[in-house]
Amino acid sequence: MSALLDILAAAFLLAGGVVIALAALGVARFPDPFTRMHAATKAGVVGCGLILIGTAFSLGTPGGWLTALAAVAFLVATTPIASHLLGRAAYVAGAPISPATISDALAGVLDRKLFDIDPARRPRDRRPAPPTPAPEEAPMTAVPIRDPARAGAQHQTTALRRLVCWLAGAGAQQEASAVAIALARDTGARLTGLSLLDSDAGQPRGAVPIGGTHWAQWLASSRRTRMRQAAAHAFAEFQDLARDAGVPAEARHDEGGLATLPTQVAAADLVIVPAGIDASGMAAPPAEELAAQVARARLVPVLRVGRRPATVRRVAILAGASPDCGRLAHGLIHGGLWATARVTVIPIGEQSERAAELARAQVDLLQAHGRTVELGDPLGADHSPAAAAAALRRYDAVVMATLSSGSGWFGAVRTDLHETAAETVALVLLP
Amino acid sequence: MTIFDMTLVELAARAAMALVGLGLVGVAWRLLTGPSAADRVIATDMLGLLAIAIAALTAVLAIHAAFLDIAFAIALFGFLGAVAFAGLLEGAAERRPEVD
Repeated sequence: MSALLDILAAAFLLAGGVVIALAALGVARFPDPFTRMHAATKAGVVGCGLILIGTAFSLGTPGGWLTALAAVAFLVATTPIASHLLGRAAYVAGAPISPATISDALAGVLDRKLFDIDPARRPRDRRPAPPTPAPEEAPMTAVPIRDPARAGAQHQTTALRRLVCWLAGAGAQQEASAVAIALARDTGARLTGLSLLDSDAGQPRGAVPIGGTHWAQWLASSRRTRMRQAAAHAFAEFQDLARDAGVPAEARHDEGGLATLPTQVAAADLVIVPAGIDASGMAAPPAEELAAQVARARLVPVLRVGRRPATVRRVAILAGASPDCGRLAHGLIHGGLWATARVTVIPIGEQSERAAELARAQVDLLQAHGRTVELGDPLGADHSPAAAAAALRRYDAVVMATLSSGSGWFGAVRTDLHETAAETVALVLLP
Repeated sequence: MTIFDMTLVELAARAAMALVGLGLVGVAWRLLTGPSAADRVIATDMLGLLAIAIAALTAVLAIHAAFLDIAFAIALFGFLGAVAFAGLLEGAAERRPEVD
């Protein structure tokens, strides 16, 4: 009888130890506070209960049994309440939710703060930005700089303080993350990774045939799952890259969709967006791209990253006759990007006296700010896409007013100069 | 004293103690690294459960029921601690201004 009791006690103690070790592993390794709490409370209580019962078996006294059973009963009764309160508090306080989460039943029920890291934490001291390299000798400037006294004074000031890098996990995400981190390192700007999913994306709208609802919802849910997985992957990659580069960066995840865009990017000088995708991470034509959508909101300049150039030496400004084109040079100067690059203003579209005047005015403004600038050959509407691409291939970045001017019937004829430029040039700035 | 001199129960208790100690390292790491305040509160809660286990195992190893009373006491107060921390988190969230 005693041997049997000993074996029982040993079995309970060992099982409890194993379960509690697994619970602790869960607390240490699970991705967000809610899953960690699930490990801590459920597995933790089972492990503790097993160890307490094993102790009672080993002691074998009535008093020992009474205490152990009372402790187990108390744990089982109170831990669910405690964990419920803790989970609610964590949700309200805005604890990060893992991007792999399938659904958030409390969205819209409880008021939730934005992602908030421990307030006791302070950002690390930023390293001083490395000195910007001297502007290389340009072999030829079409228009000489008239005000040499101010020419050297502009390279110290940069207007970039807050950057937002879009994390969608699709398209040119890796290049976009790398460009954003390099930019943050060079300017000392604060970098935030943002993944903004639309939790209603792909939901069936309007009439769906009988029996189709089930599949439509299933499709929408699997699509959301894929979006979340892609975002989680981009998150991890972004954080690895930032850590390797020694750049302090934080990441934020939200499921409000593009409707919450103003609050998400209002505090940024520049949003860096990967090319070729729409808001839900699917491949999209330039007119419906995420970069175009964010730029259309006119909240903040957008940098669309297609590839990652080693350095940006030559920048083109595509200046047409539309009113938006008048602020391209202004946007380039006040965006603080590419201060040492050589700028070419290219008049595009129907040639008119007004367009030429606009282009000359922008050359003048850039010169007054001490940029190396020239007036390029005009690209007319009659250029073939191949010829335009050949003319634009030598530029590392292009500044233009829109990603697509939507020429052709319903966009059927794809000979738009803006789209050609977006496909040819690595970086596109939409001020 | 070698491993062969121990009774079966003592052996099991020592093994369980080692496992709990291993868990203690993981939970302490989570407590120190965070990253959010909620993570630290959850790790603190879990530390309480680990303390209950350690107290119970000490009762087995010392063959003394008094340590079991300590486990019971920690179980009682751990709950209150968790509730208080939850109130603190929620209150902090409500007090924080909207600027962020």
